[in-house]
Amino acid sequence: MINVQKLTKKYGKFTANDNISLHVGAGEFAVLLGPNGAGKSTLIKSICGLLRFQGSIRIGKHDSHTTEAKRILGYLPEMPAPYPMLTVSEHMEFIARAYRLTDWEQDAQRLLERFELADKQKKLGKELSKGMQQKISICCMALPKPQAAILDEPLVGLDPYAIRELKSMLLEWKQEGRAVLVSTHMIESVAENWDTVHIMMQGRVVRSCGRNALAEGESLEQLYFSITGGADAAEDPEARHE
Amino acid sequence: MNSLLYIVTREMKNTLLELVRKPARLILVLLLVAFLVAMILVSMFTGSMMEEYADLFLLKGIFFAFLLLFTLIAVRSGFTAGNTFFGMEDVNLLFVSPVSAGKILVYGLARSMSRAFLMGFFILFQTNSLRLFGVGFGGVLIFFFVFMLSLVLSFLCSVAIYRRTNGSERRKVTAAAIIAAILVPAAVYAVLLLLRGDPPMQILARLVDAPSVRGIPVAGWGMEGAMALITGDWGTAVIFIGLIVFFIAVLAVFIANGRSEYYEDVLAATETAFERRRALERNVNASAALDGKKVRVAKTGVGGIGASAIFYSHIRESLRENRFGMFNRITVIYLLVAVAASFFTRENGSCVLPLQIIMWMQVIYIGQGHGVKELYMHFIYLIPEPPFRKLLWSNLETAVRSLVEGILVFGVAGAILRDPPLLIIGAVVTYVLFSLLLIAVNCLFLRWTGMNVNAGILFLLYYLAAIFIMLPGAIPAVIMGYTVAGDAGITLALGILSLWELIAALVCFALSRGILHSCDMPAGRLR
Repeated sequence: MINVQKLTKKYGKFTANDNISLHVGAGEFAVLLGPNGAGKSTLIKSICGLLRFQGSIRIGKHDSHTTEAKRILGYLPEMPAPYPMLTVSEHMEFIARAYRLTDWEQDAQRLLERFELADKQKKLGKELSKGMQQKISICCMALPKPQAAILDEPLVGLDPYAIRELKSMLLEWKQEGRAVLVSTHMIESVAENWDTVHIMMQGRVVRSCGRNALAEGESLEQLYFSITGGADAAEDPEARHE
Repeated sequence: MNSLLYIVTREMKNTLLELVRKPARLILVLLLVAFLVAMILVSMFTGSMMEEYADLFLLKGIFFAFLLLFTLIAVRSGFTAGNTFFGMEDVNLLFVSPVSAGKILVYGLARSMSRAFLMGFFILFQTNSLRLFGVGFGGVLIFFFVFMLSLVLSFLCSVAIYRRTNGSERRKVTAAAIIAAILVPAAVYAVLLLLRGDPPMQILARLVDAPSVRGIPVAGWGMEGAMALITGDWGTAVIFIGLIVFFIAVLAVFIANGRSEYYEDVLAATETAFERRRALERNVNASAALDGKKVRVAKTGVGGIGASAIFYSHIRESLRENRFGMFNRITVIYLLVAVAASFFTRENGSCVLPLQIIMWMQVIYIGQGHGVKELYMHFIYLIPEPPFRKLLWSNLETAVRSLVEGILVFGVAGAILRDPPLLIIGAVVTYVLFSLLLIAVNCLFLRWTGMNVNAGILFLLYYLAAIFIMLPGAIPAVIMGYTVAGDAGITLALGILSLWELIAALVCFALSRGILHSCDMPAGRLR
């Protein structure tokens, strides 16, 4: 569903993403891990068409820049940024209209209730706390029922109830056959549901593997530290792999 | 080495190194310097050809109004969050360090000086305009220097007001009363001159020479000091510049030696500035997001379908942001400027002068439109619609706003000047199409640069481009204006200019078609 081929993103001389290829299939819950500055957010923004890049990205059967690709793609940004002067319910209406959705009202209501925003429908974007802004961002992402969802640090700022709801929603999406790619530093938050992990360092994916590729008794966290481990590994990831 | 000196020198060194490491920025700085030098040379050349100069009191009035505006903004902030010349890094690292608060204040003042330097930099580009008054580059430097000093004093006034009035409504009322008492005599004198029915220019000439205006702190002193330096009246210059310097010292001592440290007085403003900067880095709608103004939500809902939903959401936001719908604070500023310009030229002027002034202001304010802001949020990139359609719909609100604004501003200006309706319509059309052209130039620049440049540099490039793109239309328009006499000539000139604006805007829009596909969404612009 999400197919990245030889993606390179440079800022001047600095290479933020270096020849990255990865694939997230339908019904797959993929996790993007890596230390700060590894290039995860850059990769995500490139996939979502927010950055220019070299290489190819396809969402479903479509090039990521096409309207067909955008129609089936959902994105939750790292920093929530609602429209300050639109209310919560107007955000839902705006997304419904922009995506040309039909019969969306009940879905919107369900989402707002699920994330405890139903009683705040008349609140303006600027009046929301950071956590609530994150919730409205989640609702905006979820309303068009994306077939491929990309979430950048989705749990930051959420209360425990919303964390539980978001995790359960992503699990439902996986079971419905949607592709989910989550970038996070909170490894334990994805430990239950992940299918594939892509570990990034210094702009490259240094390890991609499925859950069944883990050694007996090895956890995702242990895998992560075995790859990114100490200072030596951080300086020379290639050497560590060898 | 002293820690403060270390910070200052290291920051300067790193800034220079960054300039060298980023050739694009270096080229731009060199271009800027070249532009400045060319301007000075041109002004020297054209200066010698002039037979008669404009009256100096007009320049005096403009400089006074300019200083008064900056001072009042600073004073206003003193009543709310205060002002700051510190960054959050100073609060976190310097304020808690064992460096004396007095030394840190001196460091803060040096920072405020550099801020004033940047804010006043545009004065240097007025060399050509000031030549009309017989003021050479030396005079421009004097204006620049006095502006910097006045700005530092207004920053200090702001902090001092905050320090004295914070948390006490009674003190706020007292401070407001003192400020009113300073301004009222000048206002009363202006009203008396108006009631006497003196010609506008005579009123202005008398006003700028009145003791009640010259004596107004910061603005009056700055105006008088600058003009005295330019005309070689050294005694007056020493008095007024001396007053500014003296009060800078007095307020600095007052702030540094109060009963409590001044850190608290600048903390709120520093935090607000920091939050604003952070919010801007992730969302340019920061000003709306950060103001604490309570907004009443009455009518709700967003219209449109597909890309047009962007336009309707902007309209909804606009109506919420401003009590008067499409008219906002900028409209009021435009209206005041247009009324003032029309009033002072009502005997033999036309609405070309207000149009000219407001078009210059429009270059700065066009970025306030929702269309430009939209590019800083992810929604427009993800909405499944053709990119060019999204771009057009997202800028339509600015065009509609310009039309409404143009009708009001030039309607009023035209009425004061008794311009024929066709000329007023010409001014409105020129204004609206200029807004469109600026949006198009902005999009084109974002398209060319991939939005991967510093906001300041982008603005400067855009500013210069706006001038050069207008030239092919402005030159024949000016020729037409001089060839055909009277209002007909001016109306025809505006027609030519409008036509050029339309063509140039369409070309720029066509060239920036792929903007949403071939640009990086801007982030962290205020580097």
